Amino acid sequence: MAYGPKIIDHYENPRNVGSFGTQADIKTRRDVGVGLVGAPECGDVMQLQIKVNQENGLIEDAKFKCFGCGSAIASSSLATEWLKGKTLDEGLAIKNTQIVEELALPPVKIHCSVLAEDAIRAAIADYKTKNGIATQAEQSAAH
Amino acid sequence: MPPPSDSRNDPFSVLGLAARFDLDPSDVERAFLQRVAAAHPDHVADDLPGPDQDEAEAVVARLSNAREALLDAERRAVALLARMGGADASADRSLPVGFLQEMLEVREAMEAEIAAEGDAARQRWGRWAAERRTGHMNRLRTWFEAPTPPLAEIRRELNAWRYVERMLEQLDSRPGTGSV
Repeated sequence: MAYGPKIIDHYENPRNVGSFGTQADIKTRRDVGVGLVGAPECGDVMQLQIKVNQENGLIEDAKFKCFGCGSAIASSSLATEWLKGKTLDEGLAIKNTQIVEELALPPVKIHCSVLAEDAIRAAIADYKTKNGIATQAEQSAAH
Repeated sequence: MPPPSDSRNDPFSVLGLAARFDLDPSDVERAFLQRVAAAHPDHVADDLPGPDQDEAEAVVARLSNAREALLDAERRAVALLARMGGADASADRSLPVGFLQEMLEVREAMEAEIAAEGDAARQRWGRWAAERRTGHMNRLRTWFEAPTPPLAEIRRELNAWRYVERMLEQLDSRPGTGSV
């Protein structure tokens, strides 16, 4: 299967790999949102973290760890790049189809981009929960 | 309960074998060879029109896929659950509580130790994963043989097992991103 240059670049040189602290630290840090997701179809594990500037509400940094295939690594690497400088709402607006398009993912690897989108949503939801901000699901449940 | 999946995709039906988790591999091979002998393209006369040849090849491909599925314990369990009308992995993604966190930490430790120790760590984690695999298989065997197999529990067990198999698949390949 032939992969495009962007996916290979992100796989060979993944951006923003790492963590904002130990697993215990990031669970309690209020400025960090953590999303841990898995793909039951393939068994890949992905953790994505956002660090939010408490003053202006912008995502000022993002990091990830991914134990999976090259497409999953590239998708999460790209997601962390896109998240930086965005508001939480702009982060939630990132769609897996944009990742598919940017990386030219083949159809069998679309679930890797879904995993990255799931990780973004989980990280933002975790941040909101930690900071007492209602998530969209909670808002609609309240109506 | 929903009807069983299309019998053309059900490897037990394709090979005419009783649908159980404990299958003797030699029974799978015997059923495969008998059916291939009956359907192989070489047995179709050369002067027959194309569609017959294509059809024979399609049958052999289906038999071959069914053989591979039934010889692999994980795929056999997946096929068995599908027959019973259980959810597939994309419809029910549930996992035991805390499982993903444990798997993340295991994968991180595995990568760090392989980076430091090489093959010794590879073998140690290979044994760890093989033990996990045995645990999954034992629980699935019990559940599949129950008078009313607990489909949701089986699905969750299979979901967790996939991560263990993924770990084994990646033991010998390039590391992920945990040790960078």
